[in-house]
Amino acid sequence: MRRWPTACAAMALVACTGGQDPPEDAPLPTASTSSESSPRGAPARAKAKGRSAGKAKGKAKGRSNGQGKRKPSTQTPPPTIHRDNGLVYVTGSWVELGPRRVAPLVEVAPPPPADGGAAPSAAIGHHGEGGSARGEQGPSERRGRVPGRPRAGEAEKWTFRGGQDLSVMDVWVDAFWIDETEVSRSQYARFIEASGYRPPHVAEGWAAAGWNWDGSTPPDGTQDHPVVLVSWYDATEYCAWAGKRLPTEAEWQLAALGPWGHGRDYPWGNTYAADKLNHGRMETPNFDDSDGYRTTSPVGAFPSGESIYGARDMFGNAWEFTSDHRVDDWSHVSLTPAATTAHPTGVRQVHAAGPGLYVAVRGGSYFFDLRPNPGGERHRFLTEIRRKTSGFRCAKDDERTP
Amino acid sequence: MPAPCKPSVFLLSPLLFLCVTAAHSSPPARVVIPAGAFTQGSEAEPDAPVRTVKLAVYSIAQHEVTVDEFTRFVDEGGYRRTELWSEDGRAWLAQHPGGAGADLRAAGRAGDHPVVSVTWFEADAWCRWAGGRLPTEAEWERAACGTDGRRFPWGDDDSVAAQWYAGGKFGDVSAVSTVAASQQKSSLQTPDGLKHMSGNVWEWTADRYHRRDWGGTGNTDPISSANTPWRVLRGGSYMNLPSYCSCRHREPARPDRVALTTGFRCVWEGP
Repeated sequence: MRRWPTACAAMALVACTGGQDPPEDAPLPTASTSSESSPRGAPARAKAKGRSAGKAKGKAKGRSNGQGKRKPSTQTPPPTIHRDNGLVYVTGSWVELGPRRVAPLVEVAPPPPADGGAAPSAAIGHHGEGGSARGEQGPSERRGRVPGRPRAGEAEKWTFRGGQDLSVMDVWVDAFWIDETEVSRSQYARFIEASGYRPPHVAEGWAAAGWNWDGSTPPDGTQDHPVVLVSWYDATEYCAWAGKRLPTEAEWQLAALGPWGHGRDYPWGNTYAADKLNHGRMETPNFDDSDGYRTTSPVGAFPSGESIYGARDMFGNAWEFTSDHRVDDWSHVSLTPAATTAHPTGVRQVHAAGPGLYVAVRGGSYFFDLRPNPGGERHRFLTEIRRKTSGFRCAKDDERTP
Repeated sequence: MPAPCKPSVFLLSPLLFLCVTAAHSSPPARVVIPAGAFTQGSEAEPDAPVRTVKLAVYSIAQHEVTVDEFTRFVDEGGYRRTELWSEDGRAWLAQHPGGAGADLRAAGRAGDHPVVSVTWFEADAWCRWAGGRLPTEAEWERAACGTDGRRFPWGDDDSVAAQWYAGGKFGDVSAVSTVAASQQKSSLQTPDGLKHMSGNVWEWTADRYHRRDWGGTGNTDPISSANTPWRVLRGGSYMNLPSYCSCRHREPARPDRVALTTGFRCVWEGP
């Protein structure tokens, strides 16, 4: 809706007909139906063709899972946010997993001056993407550009450090519930007290400076901040104790960025807004307090940055573990039958079960800045390491599905 | 397998220590730990408190169980001999008849490298097959750091561990081959001559994990049977920061964890 007509024309991939998919699928039971046609229907399909003819050639096998033609032609987000006991409801949906295209630069709001040294003139390529290519842009494209950001129409690197070349895969996600906020330290303290599990503590100098817990007591005044200094295993144990589980990567992305046809660049919309998340800076030392918080902030402190489902802090504050191992090739994911009965032939959900050394984390943190590359909110962490940026939230199945 | 040592390669003498004869076909070398008391635990949370523990004499494998050693157990029907498995292990075995990480045990490394991707259940069965058992936390800690309260097998200098855990930046390490026990510098061994108690791969112990209720009752040959779902891993791995590799760090893990960083070694009662 927002960018495809432009990008599509610019790339001349296919004719932008503005048409919609054939109405071959029944409306989803949990999604409210609408007569509104899918704003990105045809282009989204064309996008995959264009991608498979380009760099991602031969890697578009993810689409061969038989799901490509079963997408609903209409789909709208829930009209109202449904909150219940700290969870928000996420409607069963298709979601585009993989690199997103870069929006035309004209849509990028210039960074506010309050962001200190992170001004656009500071050409820092901290994603290792180099700065020389950007010099080839014409003057008109330079307007409003942000350092480190790929040119409009290019596929973003769907990773924090770049170098990844995944194709886009459309996957089905059953309806589920996800924590409205990241798990707080007071919540985690109850788990530590009740279970005897190991508290967040790393016997290193950097962690002793205000991060380590004393037994089951977090650092002073941070009870409502997201728990960090947790490993993927720790996060998994907490969620199990709480009767929940970690979200899959596809679930996390759906909750954060919305469903197929309504995908956003940021949880709150398509334009970066420095006041809608607890972010860092592009330059070392990468901390930033223009948002009011140098490191973590109380969970849910940025309500204006919530996603369409009402989940807060999906971007920024703390990185969030998903239950997926980090894969750089869709052939490594497993497909399991979905619970929904909306699709008579059956659809499948994806999960990268591992084992592996790395798991996928999403959302970025108070450290660094995602503005140059919104796709940089995907990263990988070692399963065992406790970091001062690693947090999480839990999800749970929707027992009413289908 | 290490290349045979040849006297003519004296020009490479700095490398000769790599060629120590490793008799991989013989039973694992053991080191006897004499009976006595030692100081277990840390003054700092969450591995507190410090306490004096008495242990009977036992012997412990000099190195972690290797891929080759584990393969012999598989070849000799270890996964079918249910008498070697604990009760929980048999239930797990019914779900995973050939093991959960069968194709990941070597992780692409040579046969004299430590076996990884083995669950607590498999480690427990292997030790019984070898006539021993998994060490208790107290036995592991005494063997790793002796009796003088040091943090690491070689002393308190964690920069040595920093060399050891694999190098690389925090959080940005790449998977590297672990180093065979026969190649480890003597300066990184324990006072009793054990290898790789710190770093290399995590090692399963017999105890349950509980932050406070650990070591069970009494101070003689303690073992925790706290009512938790977790066992204790010790020693850190090649993917961890030095502090994880200290003798005091206690890491909780579900017994069915399959991890590329986790192996084990066994103990035998008596001298």
